Amino acid sequence: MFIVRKFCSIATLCKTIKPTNFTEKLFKQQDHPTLCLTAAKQFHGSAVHLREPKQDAIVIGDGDRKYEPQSPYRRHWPKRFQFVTSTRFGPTLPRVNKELKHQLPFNYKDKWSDKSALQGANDYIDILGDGTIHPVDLIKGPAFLIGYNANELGRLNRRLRFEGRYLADNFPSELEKILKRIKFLRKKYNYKRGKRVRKRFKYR
Amino acid sequence: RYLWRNSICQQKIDITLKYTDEASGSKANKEPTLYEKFLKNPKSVPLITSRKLENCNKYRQPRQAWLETLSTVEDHKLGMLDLHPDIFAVHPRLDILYHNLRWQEFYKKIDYNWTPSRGDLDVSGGKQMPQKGTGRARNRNRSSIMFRTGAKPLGPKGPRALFYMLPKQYRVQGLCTALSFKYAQNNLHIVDSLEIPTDDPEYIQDLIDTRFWGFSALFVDDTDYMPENITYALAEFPSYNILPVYGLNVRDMLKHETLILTLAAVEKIEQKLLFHSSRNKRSSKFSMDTRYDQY
Repeated sequence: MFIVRKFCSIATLCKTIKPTNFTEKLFKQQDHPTLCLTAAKQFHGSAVHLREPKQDAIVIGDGDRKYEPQSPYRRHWPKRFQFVTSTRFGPTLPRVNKELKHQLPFNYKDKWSDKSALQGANDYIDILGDGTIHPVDLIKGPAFLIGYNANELGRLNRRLRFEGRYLADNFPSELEKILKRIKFLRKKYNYKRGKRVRKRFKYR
Repeated sequence: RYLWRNSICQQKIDITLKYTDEASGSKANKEPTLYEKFLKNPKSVPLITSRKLENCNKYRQPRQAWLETLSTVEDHKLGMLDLHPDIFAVHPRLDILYHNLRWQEFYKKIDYNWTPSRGDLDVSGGKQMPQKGTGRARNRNRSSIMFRTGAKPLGPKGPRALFYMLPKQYRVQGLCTALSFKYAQNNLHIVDSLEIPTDDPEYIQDLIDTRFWGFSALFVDDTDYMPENITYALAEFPSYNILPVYGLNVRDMLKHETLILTLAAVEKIEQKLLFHSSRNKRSSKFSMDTRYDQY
């Protein structure tokens, strides 16, 4: 309202208002209305609740004959105005003025590539084929793990049965680590169960 | 998508005229398709009205489906088939489908994550700092879990396989439920053969658009070797795929919108699934046939 006091007429006011002002973007955070409010609320209290009331009032008629009867479902807001303080500072405000640097590219996954279109191709080959091939033959991986699922002690022992000689000749330090681990796990699995572990416990 | 479908209905006539003119003009030496034979002499083409089903329960009625062709863009039906109710009209068990999908995803997985334990780290066993005097916590060697560069307790250890096998009946019933879902939701089409007059990929696109088969289709044939034209035509479309019968599985059936089976494929599937659904586990004596019975 201080603008009106300065110019003291609406005509001069209209001259000062340019139509381009409304189309220009608000580049400054001070001009942004919602950001100002949120910024203000963070550091000071708010005199008014920013929530809106529920629209449950019944309205009869139009214009001068508009009438809102007092209903049992009347609004209980606003009751009275208070000064609300909040000691919670919310999240940081958006960085409106800054440019985004080092923006990571978002890569979409190709769901119809050669690999992912027919992923489970021959999984039922022992049913729908001759019966000579089993889906276990399709798994690719180390030989001691194909068709084998067990805890760590079983896996390590099986690895020694398959690759023990190769490790002893070429990677003795790795073999020593495996043997150390087997010794430790043997004692752990066999002497340290019972009350020390939770119910339905499983060694992985 | 709705507007696109309506616009294609209006172009249906132009598409069929284009292909029939080209086919008849350029390739006169080729054998006539079933539809052309039918137009010339209806009695020369055999009309299928029923099919023999083995071990059909007399209290369950067989389901019926049209026999269609891929030799023309338009949809012409050559007859009607009977489908076995124990395969194409199974009760919709969603838990069986879930178990099959989870099995297909996990049984092939091998987890290669590995974290070192205290014994796996190559560090000297000496004390890092004196017991008392420094203001820091007390410690021994650098492999302890309290250190930033130390070991990780109870982390993933070693290459680990997430392998398990579903009982055979679960997998058989999974295939049956997937097929019955496709039939019930009008996404199953049976075709006499996968032979096509032209090599053109546009032919397949127009065919699928006029019949509203969707954005993805799975063609299933009896054997490994397929006709030449369809392989060249479908090579350009990543969402239209071909499989033999032994490659069929629940995950690919549910990923593709429509399922297109040939008559020979239907007969082979029925025979195999009925055989395995009534089969029990053999004795534990080892032989090359029963070497996988441990699963």
